[in-house]
Amino acid sequence: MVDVKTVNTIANLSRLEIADENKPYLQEQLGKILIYVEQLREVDTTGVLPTAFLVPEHDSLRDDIAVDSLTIDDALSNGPLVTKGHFAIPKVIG
Amino acid sequence: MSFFDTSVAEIVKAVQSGTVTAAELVEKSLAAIAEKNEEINAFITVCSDEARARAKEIDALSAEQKSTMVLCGIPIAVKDNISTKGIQTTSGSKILKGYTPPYDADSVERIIAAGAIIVGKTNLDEFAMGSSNENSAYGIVRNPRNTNAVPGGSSGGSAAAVAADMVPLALGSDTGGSIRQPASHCGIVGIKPTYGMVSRYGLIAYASSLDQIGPMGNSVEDCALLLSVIAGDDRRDSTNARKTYSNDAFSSVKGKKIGLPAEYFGEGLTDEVRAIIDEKKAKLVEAGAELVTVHLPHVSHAIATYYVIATAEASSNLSRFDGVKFGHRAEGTTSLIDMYKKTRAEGFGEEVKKRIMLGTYVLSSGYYDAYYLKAAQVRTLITQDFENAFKECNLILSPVTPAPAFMIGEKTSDPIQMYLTDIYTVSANLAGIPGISVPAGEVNGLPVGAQLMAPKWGEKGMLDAAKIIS
Repeated sequence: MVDVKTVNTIANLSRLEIADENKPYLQEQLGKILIYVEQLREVDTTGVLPTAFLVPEHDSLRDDIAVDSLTIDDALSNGPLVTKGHFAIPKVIG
Repeated sequence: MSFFDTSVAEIVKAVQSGTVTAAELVEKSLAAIAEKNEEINAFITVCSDEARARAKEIDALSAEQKSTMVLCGIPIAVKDNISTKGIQTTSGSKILKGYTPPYDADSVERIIAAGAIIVGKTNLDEFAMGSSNENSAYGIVRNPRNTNAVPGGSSGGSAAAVAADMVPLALGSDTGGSIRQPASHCGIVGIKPTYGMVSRYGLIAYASSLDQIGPMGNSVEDCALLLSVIAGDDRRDSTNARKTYSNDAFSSVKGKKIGLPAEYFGEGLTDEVRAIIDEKKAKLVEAGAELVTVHLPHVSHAIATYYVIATAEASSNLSRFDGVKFGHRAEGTTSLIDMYKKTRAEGFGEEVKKRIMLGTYVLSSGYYDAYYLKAAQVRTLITQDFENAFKECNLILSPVTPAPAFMIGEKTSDPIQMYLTDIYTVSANLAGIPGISVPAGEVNGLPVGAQLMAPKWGEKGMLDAAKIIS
């Protein structure tokens, strides 16, 4: 079981608003999964390098040639609120 | 049962020679969707107008132009986490309702150039997070073989669309088994290619180090053909390996060693599925292959490893859904942070929220080493297990799932029970190797698949053996 304070902290870091009535469910579900993944502690990983890349055989750089990108209109086309060629957000500075 | 009861290659030949038109094929596909989709719910979006217009264009091409298109006139379904220019792409989430990408995914560009016609976008577990297609904001998908059963997930819509004969081919994506498991549950073929073979450009990312796009179809031949189209170099995906897949004739498996991992045939596997895999072993031996027992000592930890790595990557990848650039935005919020939180609370479903929170937790200060770093180390050990096994065999044969499709609602309350349905499939994603699910038998009228896995870039040999057991 994960305590409610931890749920609140993770929810804030995850930028998720969680209703109070849903917190016990998340405490239980996250707790169950974390208990299950605890099994990884049993594995001896002394000196084992963590996997960071799966395709190490080549460099991924493309040739340095200018290619077309999305137009500004295309890039903004799905914005929920767009003003004067920009994405608009709630006021940040008062 | 299969589309026109013949192979995709034969249908393509018919279109190229003019004995059938692309328009006729599209009408056949749209009619099947109109008849069956209300019950099966395989499609979130059906693009009838676009498909009909494209069919007209293809039918107007010269015989010479058609002759270069290896998927000429073939109706195809695309999983709804793969971007299609001008066609709604939701990833099964409310947060992307109405989102129409301004560009095509690389694999979509390739199938269009090859003459395929997209008839619709298929349902999936939200952001590909699930094994049953019960987590979609656009409703559950039903298994065409038994509509009380799940089709598997997360590419459940693509699998059901092929199994219900709505399309002969579909694109899916596989992060922990999301092509192979629904293929097994619906009685079709599905391939997860080697990591880096198919470009991920335009695939809405769930777990970037595990995701691969792959083909789903009625036969090994059909899937091999589609794989040859979607594989290839793309500099827009920095993990693309510049490999191609050549759809050559199938070869014999004579003298090939087929590895049977002892860990996959122990506890947890139902007797019925075991018996079906035993029949496939016999077929391979009959064809001249040799069976050897191999060991994968760390795969018992694969599910735990997967749920740490996949959720960690998801928590980062899904931070782009913030109500600013695309998709849903909550109304009546008081500040930027409040807008983010309310937008994401309203837009994401329960399973997605749970996985984002789990990923955030395992990456957070004080827990990173104990969870994320540890899982990345165990991932190395699992990869080494496969490398060692492939020193003793050419291919690995295993079940796809411990049991056939379960009933809708059966596993929704216990997350671990649901996650364990991927026990035989997640390791291929962790190790970056290819895997295929081939229909192998039935239990109580529900299909069961057999899985073959190969070393990286070993698709050709894997498909040769898959052809034998299919």
